[in-house]
Amino acid sequence: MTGPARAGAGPGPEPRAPARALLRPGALVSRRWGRALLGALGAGGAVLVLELLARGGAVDDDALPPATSVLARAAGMAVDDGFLGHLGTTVSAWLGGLALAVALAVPAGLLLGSLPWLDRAGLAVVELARPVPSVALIPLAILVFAEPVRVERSLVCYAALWPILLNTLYGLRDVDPVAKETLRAFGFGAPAVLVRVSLPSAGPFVLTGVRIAASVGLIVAVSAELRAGGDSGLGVYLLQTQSGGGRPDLMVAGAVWAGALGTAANAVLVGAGRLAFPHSARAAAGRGG
Amino acid sequence: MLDITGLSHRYDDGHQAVDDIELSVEGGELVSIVGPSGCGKSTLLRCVAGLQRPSAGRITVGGRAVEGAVPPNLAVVFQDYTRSLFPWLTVRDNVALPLRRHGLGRAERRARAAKALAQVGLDGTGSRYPWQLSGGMQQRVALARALAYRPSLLLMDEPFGSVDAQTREDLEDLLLAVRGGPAGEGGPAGEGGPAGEGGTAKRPPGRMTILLVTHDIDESVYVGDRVVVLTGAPGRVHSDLRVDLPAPRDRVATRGLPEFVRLRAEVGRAVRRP
Ligand SMILES: Nc1ncnc2c1ncn2[C@@H]1O[C@H](COP(=O)(O)OP(=O)(O)OP(=O)(O)O)[C@@H](O)[C@H]1O
Ligand SMILES: [Mg+2]
Repeated sequence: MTGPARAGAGPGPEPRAPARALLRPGALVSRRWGRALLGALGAGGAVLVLELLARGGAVDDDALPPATSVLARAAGMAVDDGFLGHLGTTVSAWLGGLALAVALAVPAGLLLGSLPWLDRAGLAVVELARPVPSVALIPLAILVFAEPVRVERSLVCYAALWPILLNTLYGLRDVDPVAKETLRAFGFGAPAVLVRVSLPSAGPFVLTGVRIAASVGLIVAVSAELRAGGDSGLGVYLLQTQSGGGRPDLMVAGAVWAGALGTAANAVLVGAGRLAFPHSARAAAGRGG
Repeated sequence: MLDITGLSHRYDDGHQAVDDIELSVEGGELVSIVGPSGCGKSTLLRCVAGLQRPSAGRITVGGRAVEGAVPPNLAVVFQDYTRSLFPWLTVRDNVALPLRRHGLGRAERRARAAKALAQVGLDGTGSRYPWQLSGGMQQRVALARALAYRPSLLLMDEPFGSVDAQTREDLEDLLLAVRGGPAGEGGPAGEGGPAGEGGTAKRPPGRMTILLVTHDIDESVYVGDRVVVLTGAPGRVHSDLRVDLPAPRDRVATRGLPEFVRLRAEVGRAVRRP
């Protein structure tokens, strides 16, 4: 028969690949490096500006410590058992709340999304509940759960629920009906279509929801610690650096660590998405890449 | 094998797509369906596949009413093949996935997928993704998926529309080769008698029954046992021509026969006449 070399001479409809597909793979690689370089330059520049501001006396040296000393402090904290204990508390409450939210929101989204009449009702509830900022619920959560770790985890879960649920619902709406009909025509029932078509098709959306939820959840976790206290956590550490005259360098270094957590979580989720859903990464990777 | 009586369909927006279609297909027959764009060919196939509940009329497959339920052991090659392939699966997994309905093990599914891909000229593309292939290659993946399934009723909506002329002729011959069994011995889905849930593990004996929608008049005569011409809109059966050409068909010899030339002209006239 014919080889692939001759294939595709016909005027077939273009697959859903972006116009950027014309770029050579080589160009893409160097572009990725270029972007990383620009990012590094930007970060370095910001550090430099902060350093000059602090050392030049433009701002009070005590209020804004020089960037280099903050970074040195932050690096030192990586081997400080006391600080790592605080960090561990935050991370476990944050990830625990996030995992709980995924476990609740994804099945709920699948259920709501596959029943059209529930979909409407579900979205209405989501739209009502979502605007309530989780930080506004901190006092209530303290009242209900008392124990700081549970307060924190439940608030993270609440905050993380909505972006995941909404993205799951929108992802399911976006599933191509032709893809679903294809599997149905081969004799597969509704549950099989849900698992084998709707779920993988909505997967990239769900993952985006989890990424948003992770960053929101971190904010909520630290906020809850700042307010609810307890004896461990990044927020508790920040409060401690405030007391007794205050240590701005440690304070900012703690904030740097919070930022690093968020960045790391995002990077992990983006990487997982690339691996799990190569088709959604193709927009960035180009055809044949 | 397939009986359509009084089939009419009006979409929700009030548009009448097909009107009072009568069509009866014997087991093992290959019926070509031609007609102008928008005359309701895809709508007709969707109704037969049980994907679309018609507003009026009755369809039975192997003696069982379709009524919005997908008939057993059916495969469809959709006109929109790009959207019909699953972008999150490799080409091989796209072809192999439906074979789960046949209760085949992983190794057997893969072997069948590889064979079907080779048949359509796509050796060695199994581990790529559909979106990494050209339009014509993707169309052949969709075709391979249907052939690997070995259905007893195969519905094809312009399955060769995006491939070059040479590949198209190869695929026409492939279709004639894989439909299996000698002529006349049909109805593999079992006339009467409930053809149990899901497909059978083995290929049913006898020929596949095939409905092939095409815009190519030459093709409709070359592969068909019958050519049904629809006119629109709404779609109605304009004529139903029997193709009495000897088997096996040969891409050069068959096209030179006076009967072939006559039929092609007749279908052409029917398509053009409103
Ligand atoms: N989902 C829909 N809702 C409303 N009208 C529709 C829908 N699908 C198809 N139609 C209309 O029904 C008519 C028949 O459409 P259909 O897709 O069956 O035509 P076709 O013969 O397959 O055309 P083509 O050869 O271009 O594929 C057209 O006029 C079309 O606009
Ligand atoms: Mg059509």
